[in-house]
Amino acid sequence: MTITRRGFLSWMGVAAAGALIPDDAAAARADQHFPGHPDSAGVLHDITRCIGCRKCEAGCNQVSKLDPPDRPFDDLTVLEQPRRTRPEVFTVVNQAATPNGRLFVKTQCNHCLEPACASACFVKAFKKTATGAVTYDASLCVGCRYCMIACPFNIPTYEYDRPLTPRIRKCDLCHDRQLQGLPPGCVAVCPTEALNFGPRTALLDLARRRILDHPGRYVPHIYGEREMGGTSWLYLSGAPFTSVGMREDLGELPASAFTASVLENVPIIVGLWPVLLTGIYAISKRKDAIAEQERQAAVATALAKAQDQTRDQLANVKKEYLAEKEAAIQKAVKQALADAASKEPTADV
Amino acid sequence: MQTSLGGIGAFFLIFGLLGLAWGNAPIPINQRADAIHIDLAAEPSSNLLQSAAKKQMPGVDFFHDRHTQALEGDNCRTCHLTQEDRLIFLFKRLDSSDPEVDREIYHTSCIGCHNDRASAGTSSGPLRGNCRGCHSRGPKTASSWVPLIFGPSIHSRHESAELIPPDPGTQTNCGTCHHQYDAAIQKTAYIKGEENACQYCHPAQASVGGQLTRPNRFGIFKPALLPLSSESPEPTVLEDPPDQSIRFMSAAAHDACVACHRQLTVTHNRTTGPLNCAGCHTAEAQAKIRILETVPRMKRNQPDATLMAAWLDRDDLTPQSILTEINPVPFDHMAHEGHASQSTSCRHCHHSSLNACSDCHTRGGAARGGWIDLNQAMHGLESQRTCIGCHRGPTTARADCAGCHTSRPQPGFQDQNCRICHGVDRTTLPTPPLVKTAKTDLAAQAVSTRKSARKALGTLPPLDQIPDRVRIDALLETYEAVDLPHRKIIQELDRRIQTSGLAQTFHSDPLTMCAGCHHHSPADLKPPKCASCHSPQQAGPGDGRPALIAAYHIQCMGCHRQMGIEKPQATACNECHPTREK
Repeated sequence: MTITRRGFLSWMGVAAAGALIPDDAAAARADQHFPGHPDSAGVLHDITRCIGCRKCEAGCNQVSKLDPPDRPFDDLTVLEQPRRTRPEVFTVVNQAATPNGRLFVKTQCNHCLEPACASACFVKAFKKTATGAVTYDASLCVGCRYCMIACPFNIPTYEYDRPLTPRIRKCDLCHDRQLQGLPPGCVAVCPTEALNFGPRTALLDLARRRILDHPGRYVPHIYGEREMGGTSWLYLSGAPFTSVGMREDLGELPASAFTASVLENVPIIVGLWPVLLTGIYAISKRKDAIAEQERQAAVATALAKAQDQTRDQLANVKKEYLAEKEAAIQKAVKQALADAASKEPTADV
Repeated sequence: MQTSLGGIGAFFLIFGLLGLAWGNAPIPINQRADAIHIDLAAEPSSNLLQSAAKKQMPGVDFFHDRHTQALEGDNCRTCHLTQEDRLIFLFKRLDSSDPEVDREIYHTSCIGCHNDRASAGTSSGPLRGNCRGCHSRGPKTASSWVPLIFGPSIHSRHESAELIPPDPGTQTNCGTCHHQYDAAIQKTAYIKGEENACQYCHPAQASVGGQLTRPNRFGIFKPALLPLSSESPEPTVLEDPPDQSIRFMSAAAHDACVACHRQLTVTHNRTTGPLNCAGCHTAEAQAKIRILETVPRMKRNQPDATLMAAWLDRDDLTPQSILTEINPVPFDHMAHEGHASQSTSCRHCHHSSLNACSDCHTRGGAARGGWIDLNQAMHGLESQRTCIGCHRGPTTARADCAGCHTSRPQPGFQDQNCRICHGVDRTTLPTPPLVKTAKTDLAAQAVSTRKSARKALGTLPPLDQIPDRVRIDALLETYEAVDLPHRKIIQELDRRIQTSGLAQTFHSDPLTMCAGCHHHSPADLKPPKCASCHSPQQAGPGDGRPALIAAYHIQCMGCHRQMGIEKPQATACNECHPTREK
């Protein structure tokens, strides 16, 4: 099979157009929102109801079998300092001074519908399960900590103090308890139902009803309904979410939407490069071959032309020679005849 | 050569970025109440200057009080001209004209005065040639100006001020300020009994043909396409473009108030009202204004009470058709005046004139009422001007009320008890249309009946029927039972109800208050216990009913928090229920 230049370029054009199509497809898939597994559970945290008693922290610590805390859970002075999740602390309550007074906010893994940690993990150590929980499998983890960088809520933590068997640690929405039909440990002990556990769709309805029933009590927004593509944890607040330390700049696209369009092009680029390079190589090879052919043809033509010239020259020379020879014979014949004529009378005498 | 160009590029890049960083740093802005920003190029009428606005010098931050201090004494006429003995609050001219002409006036007069003072050796502002001395490009001085609310107390003090003489032939001095435009004589005149709020004619901002406008710097009406901030007061709707001579509130107030204060100060040689910017428009000065404890009622022919129902004025009614109408409201106008006087006076309800609500808010809605029909104007939930909207305001805003009212869903229109307001039995009325006096008499009678009935009934059931203490022991696990001082709580809540006429009116039944905690079930002296509806275990979101433990905590702590009761703290578990010994 021979590849012509025109044929190759038109083929490449088709391939390039094909490479562009997946971009649209990726965008279409980014719009295709994953609303969560059907009937998957979540928790509604009503910040206006939280009294900052830290019972949820104690409940989490107990059911997750975590290390005992440095200071007991009924010591509320720890609220004076802002805190974050740690390898041995899956959830913390922080207080925030807001325009509407002091509010308490519980922080833990939000269990995104399309988790950023899972999309960043290249060994599939994170999994969004049908219960709603984002679980972690330490046996797969290679310890790259990409999940910690990917998480927009700064939740996953790393066991830096276990150099041989470090794990990523975070709330798993009490996945095992859920499978036994139990609510998460934090929800079970909340004395004011600032935490409600149940199907995410039912929690959304409950949150909307609270906003409608109590105009003025809530900021009319359910945090987590759409943030980062939606999270299993939902929040109601009596003050702007930024003022209670929650990010409002995250947008509504899941983390995977930002990388999908790029990553989707990897196969086609990997597939297209050999074809492209082979094509370029074939074109340059064919160019050489054509040049060689043309050179040989030119040489042959030049040679033939030279031979013709030589032949013509030889013919001319031969012709001149024969003419001269003829002339010489003629001259000699004339001379002989002349000589013979002069001698004849003498013979008669 | 290449290298040196690159070096220069890097230099500019680095210092350019530093410049950006500096540029973004917050610069403290001086705050003054007397800062007037003069910027002729930004004037809405300044088409010429506006087109080339970028080539103009920046505007000038002018500090009025600094100038009056420097000039000392009765100095207004140094800068302001007078017309018929009245000061014109424009700089050195009777009316603003072409911005280029005005600019000349500023340059000649400001700099001229500065130069004169400098040559006389006194303190002066920037001199000729020092353009940037006034036209500073630096951060604009932020105005700390606050509007003065001319409330009922200040109004009353003016009414009784001895320096303000009574109107000819009367005992009152209302005509000194109040006037209305008489088109026949093309002048303003005072008509007793028809006084209105200044804003009805002198709007703070106005909407003409749907286009919002507001006064330019001089307060003279000139339509401007300036964006209006949401904090601005509600615009007055003017159906026709007003006369050019109608002054906006800012101009009218200064013409009337400051000019009068000045005149009285000069003639009586004693301190009267404020003359400088800071005297009225700083928070400190406003805090010093004496507020009367009891403000006498303003009298302007208003009824003490009147019957309200749109159908009362119809003349096609029969005794039969009246039965299908709703009971009229005996509206206690006098009680509402007292309440409105604590905020913004009559304008709280009567926003664009002191006419009856139904003049603009007709039954079917009309343009002059903003297409808000009478029903909406009375019952709308969103506005603070409607009856229901205003009544439910304090239920969440006032700590005394918020304890009960915020824990339960805010009632919608369908949850209202119509009869509390619509209290006059329509079958007992004479056949409409009723004349005004008949309405006021009937209403006054109904209001007094309601008041005496309320007094006789009280707001509480007999004390012996209210349990003194209630032991809450439905969930004994970690903690002991709660010994709730039930009667004490109710008595305290009742004491707070007695401080508010609104609360007394709407807690008309002695059992009404019980529903604050014993909600959803019909009011009864023996309500079912909480555990009847609240199950011991949380069972998912369901219908939103909290489990028993949360129901108790939400009810008690929510109420404490809303009412500002700091003890016991929500996290002090042992103060309500001691930890159980195991």
